[in-house]
Amino acid sequence: MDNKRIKALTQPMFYILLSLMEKRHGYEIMQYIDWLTEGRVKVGPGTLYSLLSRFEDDGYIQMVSDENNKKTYLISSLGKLALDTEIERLKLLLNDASKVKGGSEDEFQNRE
Amino acid sequence: MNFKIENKFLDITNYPSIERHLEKMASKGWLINKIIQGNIFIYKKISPERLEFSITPYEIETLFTKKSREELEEFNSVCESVGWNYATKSYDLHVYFKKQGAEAMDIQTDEEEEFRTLEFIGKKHIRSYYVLIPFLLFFSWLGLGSLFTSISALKNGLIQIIVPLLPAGIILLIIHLFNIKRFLKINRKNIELGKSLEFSDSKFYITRTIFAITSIILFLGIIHFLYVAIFLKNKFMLIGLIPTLIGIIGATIYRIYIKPAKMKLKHKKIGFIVILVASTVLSIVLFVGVILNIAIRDDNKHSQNIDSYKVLSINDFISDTLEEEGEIIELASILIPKSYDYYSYSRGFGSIRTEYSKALTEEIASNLVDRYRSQAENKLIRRNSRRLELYFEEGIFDDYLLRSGLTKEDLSNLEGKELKEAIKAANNMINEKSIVEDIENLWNLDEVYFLNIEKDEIVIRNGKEVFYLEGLDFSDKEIIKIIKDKLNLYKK
Repeated sequence: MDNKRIKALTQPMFYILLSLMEKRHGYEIMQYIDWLTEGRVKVGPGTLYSLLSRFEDDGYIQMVSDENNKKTYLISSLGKLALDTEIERLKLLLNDASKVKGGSEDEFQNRE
Repeated sequence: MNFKIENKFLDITNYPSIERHLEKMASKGWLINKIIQGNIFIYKKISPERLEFSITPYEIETLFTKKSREELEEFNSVCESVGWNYATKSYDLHVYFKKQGAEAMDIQTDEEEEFRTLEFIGKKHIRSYYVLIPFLLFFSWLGLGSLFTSISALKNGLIQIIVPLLPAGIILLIIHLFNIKRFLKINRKNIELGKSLEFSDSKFYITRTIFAITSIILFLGIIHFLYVAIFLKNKFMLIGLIPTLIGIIGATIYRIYIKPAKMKLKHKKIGFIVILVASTVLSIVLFVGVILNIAIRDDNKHSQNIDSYKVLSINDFISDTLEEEGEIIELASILIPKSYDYYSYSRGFGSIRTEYSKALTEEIASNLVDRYRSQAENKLIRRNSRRLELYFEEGIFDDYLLRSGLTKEDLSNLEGKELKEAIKAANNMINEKSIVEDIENLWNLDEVYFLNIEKDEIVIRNGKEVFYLEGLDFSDKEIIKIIKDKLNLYKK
């Protein structure tokens, strides 16, 4: 499994993995992301299907059924690990941002 | 006309400019219907409409994987669900359209992901070019070399048609290779800097011109092949096609059944190797088998009427009529529009070979004579070099050298020289003694050369006609008379 290939997840990667916490097929993933983000994030079919192929090759997701020309996917344990790592990274980013917004500049100046 | 054909160029480096072009065409009443080889655009007539096009990369095929029909249908149906209608595809680029102003979600919503897909496709092309370019260079070197020296290159039109295509193919691949590398380099940087992807606006005139010429020549090649195989009944052309056909069948089986199958990559790689080896072995077995079958079977005994051909038969030289085996093999080319070989054989007599050619001009005919002479020179060199080496290194004098016109005295004069030089000088002496003009003017024709010391090989030119004959004493006046009468070899 190619763990090096995806370091930090891009926005569409993040939302696709997030939406695959439950079994979903392609169009459903797009609709779910649209619903979850209240239309803020759009993932087009070109972006979605390229990523689904890559995630499947890298073992981040697995196909659970293939009926009526619709492949349904579910996140794998490796995918969950990537997603959790990304959530932790985002939390750290947010934490850093909160520090700055909360007046950490004085703390920095008086760090000695 | 309900359709229109255009010579354009579409690849990963320029698709946004092609989107604009397709929009212009739709506004003139032409909707893209098919793209062949990324260069031939076929449109169908529609009523002029303001359409918007979206060309999107979605990788279909790699060396070991291929998206199944169902996977492509799913992708298309999702694109349709978000407002795009499928028009066609060209390799990994899929073309969609919608009415201008109609609501639709972008097919590609993330430039970084789009670039990753393009990079993957681009690298796949680059890898294949790295394999193809040396391969084509090797065949160009072989082909171009033979074009100016070999006899078959003058007689076989297919060689004359195909060989110039090879350098054109190399130029095309090199241009394409640099375009893709440049495109990936620029956009890798753009993505790193958070900029938009940059695409080419070039009209690709050179690529389009070379492609158009190549396609026409290739088409002519196919016509020529069919003409020789069907009208001239040259079965060797069809036999030559066996390895190609088996290769195509093997590749098709691999593409249809193994590539899209749901199996591990390791198993697909094994499948690839098995099919490659099986196709190669089968090609060799069938190719050799068919050739051997033709060589040993009896049903070709005089199946053709040779009276209309300028060839020699064993029965021309004996009072009885012997049962004879032989077959006319015809070829045609631009430089030598008519040529055929005939090998007359009878168990009681032996064999006589005739190779007849009628060239376009006397100069080409003369050039063919030169090629026969140089072929004879090479044949003598191949035959004698080892014997000469044995003489100069170990002092063993093979009687065969004597029969080639060399005496021990001739060779002893060369003994002080370096081995390579001595062999070369000795070969020159053999050639000078063996390949000689008809100085006695026995034949009284434009050009006549005996090609060995026994004078049982000869090349003759009479105007545009060239004959290569083998198997009789061509210095014998009686034989000369029979041949001249039979082949109508009198100065025009």
